Amino acid sequence: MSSDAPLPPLPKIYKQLGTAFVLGHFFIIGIWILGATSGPWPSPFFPGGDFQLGPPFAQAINPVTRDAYLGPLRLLNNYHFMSNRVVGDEAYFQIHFKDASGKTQKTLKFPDENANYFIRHRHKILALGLTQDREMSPLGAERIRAVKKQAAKTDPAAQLTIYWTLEDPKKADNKFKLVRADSDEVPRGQALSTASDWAYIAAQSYVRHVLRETGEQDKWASVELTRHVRRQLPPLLITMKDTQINFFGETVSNFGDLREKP
Amino acid sequence: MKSLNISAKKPAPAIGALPEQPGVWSRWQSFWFEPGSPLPWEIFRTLSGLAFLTTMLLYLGHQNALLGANGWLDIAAFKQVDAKEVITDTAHFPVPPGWSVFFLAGDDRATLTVLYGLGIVVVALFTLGIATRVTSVLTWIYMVSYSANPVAAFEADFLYVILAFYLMIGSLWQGWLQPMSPVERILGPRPLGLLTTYRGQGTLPRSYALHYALRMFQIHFAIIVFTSAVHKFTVPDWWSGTAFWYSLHAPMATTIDDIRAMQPYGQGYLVLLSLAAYPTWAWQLTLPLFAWREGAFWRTLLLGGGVLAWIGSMGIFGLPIFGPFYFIGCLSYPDGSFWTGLWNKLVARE
Repeated sequence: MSSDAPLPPLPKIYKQLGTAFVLGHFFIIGIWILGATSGPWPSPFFPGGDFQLGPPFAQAINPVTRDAYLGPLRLLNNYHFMSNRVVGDEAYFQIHFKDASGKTQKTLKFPDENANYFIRHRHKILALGLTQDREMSPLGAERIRAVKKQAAKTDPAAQLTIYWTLEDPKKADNKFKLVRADSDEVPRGQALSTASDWAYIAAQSYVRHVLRETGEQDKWASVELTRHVRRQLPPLLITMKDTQINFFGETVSNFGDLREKP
Repeated sequence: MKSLNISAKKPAPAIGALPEQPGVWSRWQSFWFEPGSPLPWEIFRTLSGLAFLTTMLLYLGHQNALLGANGWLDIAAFKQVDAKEVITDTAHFPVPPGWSVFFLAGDDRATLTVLYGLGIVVVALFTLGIATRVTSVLTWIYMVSYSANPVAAFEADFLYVILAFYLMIGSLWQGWLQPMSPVERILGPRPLGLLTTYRGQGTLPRSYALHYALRMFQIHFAIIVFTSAVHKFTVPDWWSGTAFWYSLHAPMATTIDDIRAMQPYGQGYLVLLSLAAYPTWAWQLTLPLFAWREGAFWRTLLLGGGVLAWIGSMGIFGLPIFGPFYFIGCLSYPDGSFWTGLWNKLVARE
């Protein structure tokens, strides 16, 4: 068949169907993009900037098209790429294998410098996922010990609060640990943060994976994961006369023992 | 050296076609429903397939870690994620997880490895243009499956799903108006691929379906680039022209001595960075205005931008996948006459 051989004309119905598909397809994609959360915008109410939802008509349409069309076809990205926000922390994480005396016997670092570029990139993404924290609502000053104790009888785990605290409050050296404490013991009246659900689940899962891969599920007394974060360096550093050394500090946060408890 | 046996001329008018009429509907038809040269499609499919294959091969050996039920995110974690509905609440993960062919393997490593290996074979066949009506669908399924595990999900993974989606649309409908054998009806029409054409063993018939699917991808690509550029309006570092600084001077790799060494020419360096950032941004913002324009200047702007996007996204931002996607996206715009002319000019000269 020659490339110049005349083709039969495209039947009109094909053109009509093709037109309907194109218009519908890109209408759905366009509305999906319009419905994306935007920001941060300057706001008198939020010093760090405010995020705005898309227009209400997009909010109304998008759940339907997401479930019926974009979701099954996996066309759900709204192209507001996170990588457009060029400022971001850089992170890696380490897994420390400890014996019964609490001494670290082995440490693995991720991204692994010996892995290929693409695997290192995936580990970087995972490491950044582990840096997600969430603010906790400050607890009130009143302690309701009697009520808590009563509730703990039915579900002891429900009474634990997990939050970040300095490893050594006297040093204030950017080293934190994740503390699990009874709600009664949590400091009152101060802003606290904790690892996001996602970060905690991913950290636990990764430790399980490493233990499975190494076949050392029962070998260690504890397996701890630490994340190491460095803040981005502001460009104005190279125009300043005195470079502040504290820009180059590393924050280390210890998730604690993430081994599965029997 | 052979020259490509695809005519650079406009296609012969379709039998019984009406004379060209001015107006919106006429222009709409000529944009979407012309029988296009298959050469741009062959290039599009071959490069996309190579990009898919490269990625799959680079992760070979890590498929259980990245995709398996005992991988970085295991079944227990998946259940916790589901129970707590954390995925859609987090900015880290741009798209909620969906279905994956790799979930069929359960926690059986061997089955997952076989599925992964089959995926490589399928994508290789599709890249070569073999049985495209079947392999295009399977390639799309694999690209979707590949992006389903959220633990190390990268936002650009979904760009490959987009490529595979339009490749599937074109491949599924290619050749329906042409006489074909029953086997071709199922597997896809022959001749099969760019290589066949180059060897002179067959000619590639023009196709309404390939032209239509390629147009759809072009529009989608322009939307992606434009939306991403508009999104940058909310990012102060693009306004200040320092967007490239952060990737070029990643905190883990930059020491205080590096910064001190740059201080004597710091202001000039920032000027240079801003002179690079603004044209990048402008290129993305205006791509829909020049992507379809013919002529050496516009094609150089388009394709040169595609090459620089690849180099920049890998070299400066350290991001895989974005680069090949942008490059392939830019290459999808030139029509058959451009590629035939370029081929005959550069390669096929005796």
